[in-house]
Amino acid sequence: LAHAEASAFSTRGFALKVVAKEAHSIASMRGIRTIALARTPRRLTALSPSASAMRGAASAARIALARAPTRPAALSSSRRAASSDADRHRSTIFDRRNVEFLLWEQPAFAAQAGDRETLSAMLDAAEDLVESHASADAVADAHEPTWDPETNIVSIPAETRAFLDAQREGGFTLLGADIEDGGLGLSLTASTAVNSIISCGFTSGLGGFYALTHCAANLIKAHGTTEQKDTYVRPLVEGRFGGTMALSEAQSGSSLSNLKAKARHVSGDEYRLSGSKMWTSGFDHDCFENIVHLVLAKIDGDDTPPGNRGISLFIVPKVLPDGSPNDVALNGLNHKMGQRALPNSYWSMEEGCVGYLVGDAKHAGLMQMFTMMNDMRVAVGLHAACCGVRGFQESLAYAKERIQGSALGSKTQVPIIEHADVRRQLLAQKALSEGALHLCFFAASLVDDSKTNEEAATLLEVLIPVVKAWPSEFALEANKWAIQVLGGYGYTRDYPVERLYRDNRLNMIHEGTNGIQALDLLGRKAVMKDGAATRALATAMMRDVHMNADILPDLAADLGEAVERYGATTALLGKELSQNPARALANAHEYLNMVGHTVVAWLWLREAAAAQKALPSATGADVPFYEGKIATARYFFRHELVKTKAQADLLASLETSALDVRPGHF
Amino acid sequence: MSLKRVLVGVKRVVDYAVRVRVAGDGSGVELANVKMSMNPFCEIACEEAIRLKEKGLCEEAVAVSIGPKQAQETLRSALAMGCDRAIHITTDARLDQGGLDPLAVAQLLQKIVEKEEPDLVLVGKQSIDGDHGTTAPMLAELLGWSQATFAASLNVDGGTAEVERETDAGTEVIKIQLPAVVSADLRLNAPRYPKLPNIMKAKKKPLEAIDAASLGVDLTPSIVVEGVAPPAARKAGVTVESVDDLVDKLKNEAAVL
Repeated sequence: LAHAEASAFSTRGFALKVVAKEAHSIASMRGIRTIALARTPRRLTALSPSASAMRGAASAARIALARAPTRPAALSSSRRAASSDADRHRSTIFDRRNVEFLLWEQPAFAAQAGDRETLSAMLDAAEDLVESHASADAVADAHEPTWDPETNIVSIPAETRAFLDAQREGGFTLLGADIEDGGLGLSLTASTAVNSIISCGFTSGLGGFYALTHCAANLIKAHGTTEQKDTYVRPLVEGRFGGTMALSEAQSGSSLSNLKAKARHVSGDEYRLSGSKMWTSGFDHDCFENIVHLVLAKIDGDDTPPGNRGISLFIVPKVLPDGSPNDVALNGLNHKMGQRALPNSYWSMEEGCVGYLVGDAKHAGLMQMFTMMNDMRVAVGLHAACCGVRGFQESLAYAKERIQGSALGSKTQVPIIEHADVRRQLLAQKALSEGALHLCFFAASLVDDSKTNEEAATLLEVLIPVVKAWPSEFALEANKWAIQVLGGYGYTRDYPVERLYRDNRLNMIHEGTNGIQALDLLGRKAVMKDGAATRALATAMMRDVHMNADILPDLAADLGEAVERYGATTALLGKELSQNPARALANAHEYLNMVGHTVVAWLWLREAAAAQKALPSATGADVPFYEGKIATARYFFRHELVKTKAQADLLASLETSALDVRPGHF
Repeated sequence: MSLKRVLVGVKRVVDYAVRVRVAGDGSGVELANVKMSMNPFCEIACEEAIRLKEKGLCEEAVAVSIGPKQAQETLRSALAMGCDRAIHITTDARLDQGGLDPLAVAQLLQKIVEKEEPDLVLVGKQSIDGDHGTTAPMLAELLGWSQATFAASLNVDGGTAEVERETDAGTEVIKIQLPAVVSADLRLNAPRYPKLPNIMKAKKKPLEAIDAASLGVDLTPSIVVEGVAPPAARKAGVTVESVDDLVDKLKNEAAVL
């Protein structure tokens, strides 16, 4: 059908070029009886090479001679497309209004968001960064880094370098850092808000360079010796040095105890390291003055405990303090499905490789790493959520412009957003991606609050696995629908939605696979301290159930039931855990998703309540905005939260398909 | 030899990317809930002032804006770009059309100039809402100062400045005596994006608020807006049956042949 349209368009284009003077003679030559602007393609069938195709197409008269849909702004230079209906100023990349709604209209975040004027100016700066490097992702994705072993150069596109420079010069690397290290001293809530704009604009891994750097800086700041801190923290915070996390090895991913990298003591905190690492992002490129690898290895010696407890953390700089190159060797680049802007490699620590034991503290590797876990898991969840948000924005813009098909009983072709199934796909994306985004903001605010508030700290424990895993699975689902909305075009590389899916897909895997998160949630966090965290979460959710029973009775009632299911299921599984852990944990993944759905429903209830209260005094574009929030919350409850009933039943049945089936049965 | 002070006029306007809509009653453009930003030409003027500072050619850059409470956001942007302090002339009058006239704006700025005694006033050549382009020349005239409008380049040297001006026939270079009013055109520079640390620092820079009514300027508009309407919608095309028909229409109706 698309082919037929294209030919019709080009034929029309030809016909339009036939200008008056020559038209007559040419017309008689070619037997053209009519000139373009015809609405029914029948008149052009004499010219069209694919006439038969068009005739064959169902009801030729219904083929709209529509232009190819305009490309979403993301592929051309910076542009914010305002929509044609009575709608607010929209971008196809992020939703600023929604970010502001979360920050200042959700009571949970306003305190941690800080000074509104300043944060708004920072959000503006983030928007500018996104707009001025709009093509960087697409370019990086089309030009995956390559490694030339002869010159040992890893190719990095100019657009990537320009973006990294802009991030550094704009001060974006300072977002998460303390003032005393030259940072901005912002709360995680505020940083997350700024990063949410950036993560929507750059899904292909561009943000990864400095996300890892931020991690490295925080780790060394939290655990390093004074000398290590003096040498590395400030350059990492300022973005002059890059950081990497070199934990995994070819044979050791989820299972860290299989680690083979070794460290031999030299003197003080200096060691000689040997071994190979796998899946290291950002290893070896020349975008930074130095790259600081944080490497897990086991110290050679009799007093090293076996397994995980024998793991230590080392600083392995690419360039040693005396300026000479460290003995590390890049062995190859991994060819990833997505996030191609960020090189991912396997490399080895050669004979002369020097590493500095972090904090000069032996066997403390995992404990030190865990300091960063919360921040990293929120960051992964945020990346996933923003991939979803971006896909939604792109497909929404497309659905408003793309003319195809008419309403039942009508002959006028309409934009596809008028069709119920397309609206369902858009609703699904909005519900899942905005829910995921809210979840990340919520987790960030808990990280901030947990420093002074006991309840926040407890809630954070049980929510960290959810904030990492739920967006990675369900914002990915949103990406699936984004492709669907664009139809055939969505399946091509000319539109960004397929890339967003590919970029998002890693999030179920890295930073602890979702399977691990599920085991962590059910096996540990849900039941620790006699279920204290579960009780705290249930209590927090029920508070909103009661508070909103009047203004949103149906949603409040449904959530109330879901919270009861959550409590009952957790209690049942907790009991089974002490008797038959394998059986209790067999469907942990379903438990994780059930908890995630319940929590996101709770957050949607909060959004709907805020929207409901704001509606009476809302004006202009705010009216459809708030109505949309309430409609989407309802969708989430009716289409998604209902699934938790089946999940609860499944989990309560303690069914054991996954345990009973044998490898041979496959 | 550097200038003591540069005064930068910045205006809060509808963001350039917004597709504006006319209010139902035709009284003006719909401004509620619409994204507002610093006028692009004002950004260029502000950038030029900062560059003068960075070159050591001026000691202090002071930003001034006329508008409601939210004009402070625009002033904070100017401070984040590098201005040292800001003056907010407060008014709730409309600033795009049917409120403060360009003359009133020029007169208010004149009062600030008399108070601050800058050596140079930098403003945008026009605002993208009103599009009058008259404030800069009127201000110069009120002050009895030199003026250089549509500046594409500016070279300050002690008590004079060399300005390349955009004209309809190309550019001309003029030399003017300071103090002067210079209005910035597109090619003057590419404004910087404020860096995050500077956004934080801007919070602490001084911002003084002065009620427009207290400055002794008559603010009653002399320009009255009769009505605002969107441009006529594009009419649908006509299907022609034959080439002869097309030729006839092009000749007799469109009169292009």
